Formats: sequence, structure tokens, C-alpha cells
Amino acid sequence: MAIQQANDPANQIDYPHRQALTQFMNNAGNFLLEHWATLITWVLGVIVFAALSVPFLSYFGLDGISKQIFYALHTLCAQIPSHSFYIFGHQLGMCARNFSIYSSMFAGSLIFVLSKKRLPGIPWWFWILMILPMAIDGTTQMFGWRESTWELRVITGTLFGLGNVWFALPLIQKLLLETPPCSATNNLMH
Amino acid sequence: MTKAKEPAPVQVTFYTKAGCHLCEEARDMLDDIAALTAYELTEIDIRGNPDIFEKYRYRIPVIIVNGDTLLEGRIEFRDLAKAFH
Repeated sequence: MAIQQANDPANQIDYPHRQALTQFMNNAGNFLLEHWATLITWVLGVIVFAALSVPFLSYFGLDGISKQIFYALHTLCAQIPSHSFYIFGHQLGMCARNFSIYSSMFAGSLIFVLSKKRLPGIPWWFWILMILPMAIDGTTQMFGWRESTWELRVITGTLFGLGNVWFALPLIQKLLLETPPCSATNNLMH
Repeated sequence: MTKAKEPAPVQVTFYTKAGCHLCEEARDMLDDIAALTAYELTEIDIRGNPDIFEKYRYRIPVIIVNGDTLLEGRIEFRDLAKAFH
């Protein structure tokens, strides 16, 4: 019923903007389907760059900008000083663990994009193995049973970040390739 | 007629450093607390003393209330307010 209405020429004349909107949505959808991995890489890259820029901006006296970026990054990280790296005596925008997670996710997604989205994924059990060390390190520290070190935070965070992108990105690509295009679906419905 | 003795004001020591964003946030909280409770503040720039610098460089902001309650790093306002009572 809805398909008949959309294909009705009378409806298209009544709503001249509908075609333009449909065209725009189709183009946006196609763009996302083609460049979704690149967009993810850009977002991760911006986060890593922002975290790194905080101490440099402070060092060069640009405290106003540095402060805003630092506060914005608090939405992603607790920024505990004793768990953080310092450059020029200034704290990075993220703690060591989160910085490792986002850096490794950025590196992993960049490799995925550079491989033209052909990088094979990992099985779910290997993904679990990669995220398990951080789960153990993080929870035992959270409950106060022990205190982690910066080396453990970096190693477990990197494994976690790499594991996530290595598992998720190829899986997303596989699902996208297996899903028939919308036009084909519509044709099937007719 | 004897005048009732006023309680001694709360002593606050605040370890800080220029360019420390968490310290600025903690300083704002101390200003907010000042509007509610009187206290005596001693602000110490950790760069002025090598021993203090080594002790607190990865911990600032550090706030010590009445010599015993210690708050450091990312300080929450409710924890700071609690330390004054």
C-alpha cells in the first residue's frame, strides 16, 4: 500500500521536495556505506589528537584551548592524574589506559581502511581473549584488591582496543557485503 | 559576662601548579565552599620545593583539610564539602 502511494505520479507532483529529499538520503546512505570505516578512523584520530594536543597547548601557553579540550575529553575518561602520562610536565587529555585504547583503535581502524576493508576479522573467542586482560586488570583495581601499573594499563588497553576493531570492523563489512542493496530489495517486493 | 569562643577555622592546604586544569577546577570548588564555610587557605605551588614536587607531581590537585582529610586528583564537590563537616 505504502509502496503504491510512493510510486503514484500524482503524489510526486504534490510533493516536489520529496524526490530531492529521497535523492539526498540515498546519496548520504551510499556515502556512509562506502566510507563508514574512514569516518570511524577520523573520529578516533581526532580523539587521539585532541588528547595529545592538551599538554602541547598548555606548554605553548594556550591554556584556554587546552582547558576546553581537557574538559571535553572528560566525557570519555576519568583523567585521574596518577594514572596519566605527562608531556612537558602537563597531563595528557586521557589516562594511560584510555589513551592506549583509543590509539590502538585508531591504528587498527587505519590499517583496516588502508587494507581497503579486506582485513580478515578474528573469531569471537579470540576477541574475548584480547579484552579479558583489561577486564581483569580494571576490575581488580576498581575493587581496590590491587593497584595496576602504567605498563599493564597500556598493554591491556592496547589489546582491548585492537581486539575491538579487529573483531568489529571486518564483521560490519562482512554484514554490509552480505546485505542486498535497497533497490534490489524493492525489486523483490514488486 | 564571657564571650563564647568561636570554633577555630578550618585549615586547608591546597597543592597546585600553573597549567593544571584539574587544579583550576578544584580551586573553583574551594571558592564555592568559601561562600558557605569560613576557612584558612594555604596555597602551595609544588614547583617551589623539589621534595613537594616529587611527592605531588602526579597527584595534584591535592587538598588537605585540617591536616587529616586528603583529597587528590579528580575531586568531586560532594567529597570536598563532606571534608568540611
